[in-house]
Parts: sequence; C-alpha cells; structure tokens
Amino acid sequence: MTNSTRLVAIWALFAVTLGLVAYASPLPQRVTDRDVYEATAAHGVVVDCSDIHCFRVLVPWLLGPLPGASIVRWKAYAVMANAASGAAVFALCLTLGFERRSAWFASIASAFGFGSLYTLHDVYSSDPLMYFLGPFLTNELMNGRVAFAGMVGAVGVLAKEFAAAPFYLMTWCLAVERRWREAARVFVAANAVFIVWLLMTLTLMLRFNYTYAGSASADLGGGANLVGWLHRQSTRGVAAAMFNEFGVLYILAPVGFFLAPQRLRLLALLSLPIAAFFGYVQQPDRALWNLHFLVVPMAALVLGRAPTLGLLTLAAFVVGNLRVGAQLPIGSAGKIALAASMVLGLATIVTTFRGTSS
Amino acid sequence: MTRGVFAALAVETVMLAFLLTIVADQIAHTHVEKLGGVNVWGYRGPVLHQKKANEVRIVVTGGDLAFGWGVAASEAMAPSVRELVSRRVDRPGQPDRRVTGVTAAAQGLAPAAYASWIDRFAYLRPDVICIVVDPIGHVFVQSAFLPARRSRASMFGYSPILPLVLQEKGTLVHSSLLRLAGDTLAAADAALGVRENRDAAAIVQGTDYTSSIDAAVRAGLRSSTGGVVVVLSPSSDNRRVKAEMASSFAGERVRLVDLGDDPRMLATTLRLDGFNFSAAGHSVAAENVAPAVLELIGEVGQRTQ
Repeated sequence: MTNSTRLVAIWALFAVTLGLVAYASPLPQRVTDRDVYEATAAHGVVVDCSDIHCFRVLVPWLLGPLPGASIVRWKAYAVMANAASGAAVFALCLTLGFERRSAWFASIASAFGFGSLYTLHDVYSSDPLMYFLGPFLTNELMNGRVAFAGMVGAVGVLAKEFAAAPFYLMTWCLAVERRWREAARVFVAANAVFIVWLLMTLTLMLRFNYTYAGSASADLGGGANLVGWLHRQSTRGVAAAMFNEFGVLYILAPVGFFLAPQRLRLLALLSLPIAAFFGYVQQPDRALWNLHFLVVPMAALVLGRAPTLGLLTLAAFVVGNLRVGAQLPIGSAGKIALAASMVLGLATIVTTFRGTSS
Repeated sequence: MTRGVFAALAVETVMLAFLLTIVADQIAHTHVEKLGGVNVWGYRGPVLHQKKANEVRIVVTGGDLAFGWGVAASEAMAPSVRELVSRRVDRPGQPDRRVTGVTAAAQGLAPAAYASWIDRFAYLRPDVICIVVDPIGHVFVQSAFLPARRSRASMFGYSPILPLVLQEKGTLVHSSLLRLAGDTLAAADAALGVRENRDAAAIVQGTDYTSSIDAAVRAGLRSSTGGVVVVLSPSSDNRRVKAEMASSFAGERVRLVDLGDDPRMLATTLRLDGFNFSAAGHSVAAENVAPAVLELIGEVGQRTQ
C-alpha cells in the first residue's frame, strides 16, 4: 500500500466512524454561531455584520450552494475535515520519523479528540478545517512544498485566521535551526497568507461595513475573549472545560516531549506563544485544540511505547470524548472512561519508564 | 537568500506596511469618531448601517457651524434634531419608524463646495438634508483634516485620521516619537495628496454666496427623498438670502430656518468660542430646525399615501 493510498484509507475509515458519531450527536440546546454562518451561506456577504464569524467566509461560501439540508451539509463537512485531520496527523508523524504504530495512535487521538468530536456536535464552525490545515500545512512545509502550502494557506485563511499560524511557526522553527534560506521562503509564504487575510478583512470592513465591534476577541487590551469567558464560568466550570480539552494528553504529552524528535520538541516550544495568543483571543477550551497536531503526537509516542496499555488508554480517551466532545448521551460511562483514561495513562507512563530504564 | 525571495520580501514589506497603516487608521477612527473626529468615510459618529425600510434619515451638512467643533458627535445638531423628530414620528400605536441623524459636514468647507459635498454623501440616502450655512465673513478653520479632504484617500471617500491622532497624542504625552510618526504620515499623505480647490481658502465670501447655497439646495433635492432645510446662521443679516431663496424655491421641497429669528440663539452662552455652538447651542438650534424637518417628512408621508 502506497503512502497516499494509506492516507486515503485512513481518511475513509475515520470518515465512516466519525459519520456515525456525527449522526448520533445531538444538536446543541443553546445559541450557537449557526445563524451567522447560515446568513453568510445564503447571502454571501452579510452587510453591517459585527460578528467575528462573518469574517470566516470560506466554509459557508463552499457549503452554501450545495443541495440538501443545512445541518446535513455542515455535519458532512465536519466529518470529512476531521477525518482529514486524522490522516494529516498520520502523515506528519511519519515525516517526523515516528514509527507507524505511534503515528496510528496520534491520528486516532486527533480524529477522536475533544476538539474534533465537539465540532461534530456544534458543527457551525470553521474549526474542523483548521484542525486539518494545521498538520497538513506543517507537513507540506516540512517536505519543502512551500508554494503549494502557500496556495492552500491563502485559501484556507479565508476560513479562519489560524491558517497563517503554521507558516510563522515553521519560519521560526527553521530560523532557530539556522536554515535561513528555507526560513526566508516559508516567511514569504507566511506573509503572503497574512496579506490575503488582511485584504479580505479590510475589504469586508470598508466595502460591507463589517466590524469586530460585537466580538470580544478584538478587544486585545481588555482581556479579549479570555477574561469574559473566565467571568462567565465558575472555577469548576473553567477547570472542567480545560480538563476536557486534552484530558489524559495533559499527562502524556509532557512525558512524550522528552521522547520526541528534536524538531517536534522545537515546534512544541515555539508554538507556546501562538497557543497563548489564541487562548487569549478565543475561548481557550476550544482554541487550544488548534494545536492538537503538536500535542497529540507527543502523547502518542508514550502510548506507542506500551502498546497494549496505550491502546486501552486511547480507547478510554475516545469514549470519554464521545461524552464531553460529541455530547453523546452515554451518561456515566463517559465520566468513567475519562477517569479510566487518566489511570491508564499514568500506568502507560510508568510502563514506558520501566521499559526505558530496563 | 535568492534574489527572488529577497524581492518578494521587499514587496511584502511594502504591502504589509500599507495594509497595517490602514488597520491602524481604522483603530484610530474608532477611538475618535464618537468624540471630536470623524469616521473612515468622513462623517461624524460611527459608520451608518444600511438604511432600513422604516428608517427616516436626517443628514446635517455644511461647514464649520454644522460640523460642531468642540462637541462630541452625539452633542452636535444632527442627533438633537433626530431626537426631536423621533419623539414625533415614532409614537406608540403608529407604524414603527426609526429615525437616524448624522453630521456630514466638513471643517473649512466653503459654501461653493457644499453641492459637491452633498453629492459625495448621496449614498447615505437621506430623507431630509439640513444645510447649515456659514455666514458671510466667517473665517474658516484652517485644518487639513476633519475630514481629510486633501488626502489621496479622499478620492475613494476615505478619510484618514491616523496622522492627526498620532500628532495630537504625541503632543499630549510629550512623545516626540509619536509626533514624528504622525508628521511622517502627514507628510507622506500630503506628498501624494490632491490640491483642494479652495475658494480663497480663508473666509466666506459674499460673492456667489446665494448662488452657492442655491447649488447646494439643488444637490440636496437630488439626493434626498423628503427635501432640504436651509439653516442660516444667527450671526448675520440674512434678509437678502431669504428673499432670493424664497423666490428661487417657491413651491419646492425646501424650508428655510433663520436661527437669528430665535433670540435665544444670539446668546453668547450658547457659543464655545464666539462662533461654534456649545452642546446647548446645537440643542436650541435643533429646536428651530426640527419643525421644518417634520414638515418635510410629513409631506413625504402624504405623497406616498
């Protein structure tokens, strides 16, 4: 099986499984961004819009003309993008020099992580596309396909500003590695993507009177979305939301950091300011999943060292996310699975270290 | 580094500098548009939304007196007129009508330029335009800004304000760096800018005064659905203008308000600097203007029934 055939097979496998989850996932019983995305899909441009999601035009523009019920189109998009995200993480792991087993662990954890599964519940979002573009663009840039990545990024940034982040991350990484020529090429691509985003944003603002007035994200000096989110939540709510975001990955990834190849470590460290920025301007419990393609592979390295325990940990992690992410009505099974994933994760770490020391 | 990459970086640097300057200018506008400044399109207050079907839109235009130097956008004549008109047209039991008022005037704008200025803002789709005319002999405010008519960007309707904000902020906080940035941007804008054809540039001339108002009224009639209210300054002898206007626009959708007819308007306490109205001055002026606006709106209602 060639690499591309394998990636297509992985994507298809994930798409079928995620499709079943999406089918079973209930609709949110609260106000979401659905109206904004549907208005963009229907009108193309929503004149005088003051919602930040109005600026994220690509996905509604692509889904708008398609036939069928809105919810079906958006769920299908979320399924396909998240499946592609899993496949992209698999490819990225191989590029980073991972064994295939660890790459599998990483791709499953990405496709069935909290962020991905949550977008199967609340599908009206550009996030699934970003979850795919993060690992995909990083992998393309690592393989020297800068022009292609630049073109994809220039289109992707019309969906959400995060599409520019992998370019600056790789620029910084290459600069630290003192690969100046490659860093300069990627920097050119990064700026090109950023310019596209600026042009689109200014066009929407000046031509169609779009503003960020209705969005806390633009209030950089006033705490952006983070402060408002912290005020709206109880301490317990904040802790629960942040725990759900990565769950057992919080304990696996730091350990995996020391097992990771040099470049992944570097990328992880350099991504911290990006994570801090997006955690500040967006809702942190969802924003941080944009960097899943760096967190999950590090965790997968630990899981791969103790395959049986690793598999059990991953299974518990996925079941837990079916509850907290996809919001499947599986009751206490989800909570038990989350707790089990933590215990199994700790056991995996212990086993990994025992294996390393012996 | 190859030559191509270097060239691309150079081009991108220029583009980013340009685009980020626009972004900074927009941010600067949001800080001053509700105070003494203007929004990106050169009128006071936030940018208006698309006009709604049930909306009555009143535009106050003209030169220094209409602009309302020294008062916030919400304290100028337009919001006061809007408030008074709204009380009458948006009543319980009647069809829901929303009234908006906006100040689309310019500092240092000669009466000869009123007509083109009204044409420039025709896209606001006003129902009634109030032309507040600066009196003969008035010495213009010498400002390149508010709104920046000499900027190249003004050709596209855009009114940059970042140079002024940086200069004033620099002076306020004693930052030579901010002042330098403001001066540099202003110089760059002036170098690229257009020469404004100012009518003697310093003072409102008696020559062609009435014909300038006449042209402005014609422009107002073209742009508005309801009509035009000509508002004459209280500090001048308006008898000749009133007589000529009465004969020129008899039977047309034009109303004339001479603020000098209201003795209150002559009080110096309603002025900030001997010429510009205080917030209270704008409010009293609005009391004189609002009935004429209501009359024109009422006529529109009768025509549509």
